[in-house]
Amino acid sequence: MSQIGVLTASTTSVFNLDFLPERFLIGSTDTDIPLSNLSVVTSGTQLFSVTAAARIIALAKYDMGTTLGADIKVPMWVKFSEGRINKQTTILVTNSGATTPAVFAASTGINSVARRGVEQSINANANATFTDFEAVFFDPTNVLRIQVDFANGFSDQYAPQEIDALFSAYNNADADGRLNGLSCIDAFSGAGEIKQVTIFNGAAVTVVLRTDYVEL
Amino acid sequence: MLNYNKCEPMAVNTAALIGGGLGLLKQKKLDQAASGSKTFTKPKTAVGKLLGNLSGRTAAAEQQQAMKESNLSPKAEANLMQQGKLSTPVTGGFSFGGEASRKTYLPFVVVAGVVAIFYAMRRRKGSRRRY
Repeated sequence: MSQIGVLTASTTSVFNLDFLPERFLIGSTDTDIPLSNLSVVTSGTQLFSVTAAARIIALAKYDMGTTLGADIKVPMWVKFSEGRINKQTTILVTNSGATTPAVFAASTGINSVARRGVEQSINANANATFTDFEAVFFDPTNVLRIQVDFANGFSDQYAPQEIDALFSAYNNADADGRLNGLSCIDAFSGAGEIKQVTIFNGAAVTVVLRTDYVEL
Repeated sequence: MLNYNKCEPMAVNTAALIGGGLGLLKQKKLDQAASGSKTFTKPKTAVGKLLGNLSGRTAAAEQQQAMKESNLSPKAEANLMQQGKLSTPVTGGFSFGGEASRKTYLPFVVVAGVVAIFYAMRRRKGSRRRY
C-alpha cells in the first residue's frame, strides 16, 4: 500500500482501512511531525491512543532512532504492528499544523502481532507499576524515583537522571539522554531485560506512554 | 393529504448486501488463516480461482504463505515471551490445588457417570417390581 490520504490543516482526519499497516508515515522523512493526537483501533481493539505532540514525537524518535540536535527533523514513521494485519482499522490523527502533508502506510509482511501504545496518568504523590512493556515514556519533571526490577531478579532505585543515563547508554538519544524531553525506559536494551518498573510521582500528575505487543 | 397508495416499497440495495456478505466471508477466512485454525491452499482450476477470489480463499492462502515467511522483530518476540511467562488462572471447571493452568471437567464427568449408574439401577429395580 502506498498513499492513503492527505491531512487537512488544523483538523482531525480519519482513515478507515481494511488492514492495519506496519508503518505509518506523515509527509516525508524531512517533515516536521504535526500531530497532536493519534488513535488506532483495529477490529474493535484500541491499539494506540496518544494525546500529546511531545509523546508522539518521542515515540517516533524511539522508532526511528533519534538524531542529536534540537532542530533536526525526525520522521514520523511510527510502527503500528509487526506486519500488515488484514482487519478493519480506523486511524484518527489530529493535524495541529498549517501544512497538508500526505499520509502513507506500508508493511514488510503479513502478521498478526500488533503494537499497542496507550497512556496512563499517575496522580500527584502516587505511584504506578508497569509490567511486561516494550518501553515507557514520561516527563520526569515531577518524578521522584523509579524502582527498576530486572528479569534476573535484581532490583534497584533509579533517579530520573539515572534513567536518562541508562537509556542513552544503550540507545540513540537526544543530548539530555531523553527523547524529545521525555525519559524512556527500554525493557529490552543492552542493560538487560526489565520486567517491571514502579514510578514514584511527586507534586503533579505525570502521564506515561506504555508500548507493548499483542496478538490480534 | 397523503395518498398511501402511491407509497413505494423501501428500496433494498442488493449489491451492497451481497458485497457486505462476501466481505464478511473473506474476513472470516483471513481471520482463520491468521489464527492458523484452518489451512488454505490456492485454487488451481479456472473456476476455483474465480470462486476463490470471491470467497477470499485465495487471499487467505496468500496471507498464510506470507505469514510463514514473515519474522517477528527481536523486541516484539521478547515482549510476547515476557507476557507468556504470566500464568493466567483459568476460570471454569475445577483445579486440584494450586493455580489452575488447565481447566478440567473430570469431576463433572465422574458425578454424571455415578448418577447415570444410580438411575439405571433404580430403573432395573423398578422394572423387577412390576413383574
